[in-house]
Amino acid sequence: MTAIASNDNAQPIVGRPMSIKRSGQGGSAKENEGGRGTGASGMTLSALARELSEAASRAASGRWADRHSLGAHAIALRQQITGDGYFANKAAHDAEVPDSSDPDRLERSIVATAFVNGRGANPFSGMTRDQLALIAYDDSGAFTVNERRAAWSEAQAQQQVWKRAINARALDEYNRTGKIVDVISEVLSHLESLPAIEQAQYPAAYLNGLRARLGGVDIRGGSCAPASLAELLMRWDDSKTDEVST
Amino acid sequence: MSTHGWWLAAFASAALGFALPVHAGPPVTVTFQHLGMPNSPDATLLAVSKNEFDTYANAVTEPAESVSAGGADQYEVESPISPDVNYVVVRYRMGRKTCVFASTYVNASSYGGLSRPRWTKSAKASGGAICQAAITSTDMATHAWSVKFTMK
Repeated sequence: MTAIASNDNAQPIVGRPMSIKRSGQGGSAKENEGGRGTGASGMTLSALARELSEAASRAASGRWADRHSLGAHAIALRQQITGDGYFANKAAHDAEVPDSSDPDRLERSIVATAFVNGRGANPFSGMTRDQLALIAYDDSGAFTVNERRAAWSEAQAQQQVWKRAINARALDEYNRTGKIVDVISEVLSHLESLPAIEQAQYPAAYLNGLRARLGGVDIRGGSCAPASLAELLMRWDDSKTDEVST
Repeated sequence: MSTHGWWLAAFASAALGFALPVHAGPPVTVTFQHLGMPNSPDATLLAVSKNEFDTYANAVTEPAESVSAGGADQYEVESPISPDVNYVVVRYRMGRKTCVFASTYVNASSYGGLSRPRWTKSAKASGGAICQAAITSTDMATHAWSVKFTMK
């Protein structure tokens, strides 16, 4: 069972919502608690709402010593659905059937397996990042491995949409001002809004770098100075490097 | 090298200090595409060299740790070395296949004091991988550039 929570403030790491909400939407009344709304995949959502609630409870029961511990655990869970082991056992994952007689539940697992094999829509399309994290990082068996991968995939897709938009704005800010400051502030705000189990997977060096740029304080350590330009250029095999110049 | 390498890098950066851009170089927008067949292993981002660790640390938007077959990841990197230098060095593994991609920007002064911006790109393959790098745009005013890395 995966149960994830921070010990910093005793708050659940993932899993606030108990109802199904689509990202960027408020969620219809039928989709919320107790209802049997119909999602993008055409399946009723009440079973999923219950499963998410149970996953949130599991997540809330976990405690981790620090961000590093949570991050390492999260990476291990992620590798279950993205790493070599996932592909080595692909046939077994594709054949996995949930321990349930609920037709909606069974149908969702079939749709998820089809999706991860390049067929059809993601059954978790449009769900919030919190809800997606509850599914992707829950290895209790409540969700099939392919459902977890589909949820992870949807989170990646949402992150990609956000990144492409913010990249364009970063470039625009640089072209206008010669620096990137405002966008970095937005990046940090976005990262801090993600489920903690996702936040914990970001390298500290990356987050510290963003914060340092925002703070405008030079905290470079001499022993960690970047490679010199000469050193940098010498590391490449010139014969395999193509160049564009003016 | 596993994903745990990032954690080592994080620890090292925390212990040794972290580079900050006083005057950062022009940003590079990187697009990585996984061109493998459906159901081929995900392309996993690895870090071995210092420049690979630094690339992540210098990112404005982070490179994805894993990209599925047919998928793509776009991220932006701005090196803190100087206004005249930026670089990106990334390594992806797909099963036994590995690609190491790089792209650099150097604004060197030539004789007569004129600056001469240069952008380079490279792709090194091993394990049967096919790796390609292409500079897709350069801005002659700001020197920001875009590069596309593909792997299959």
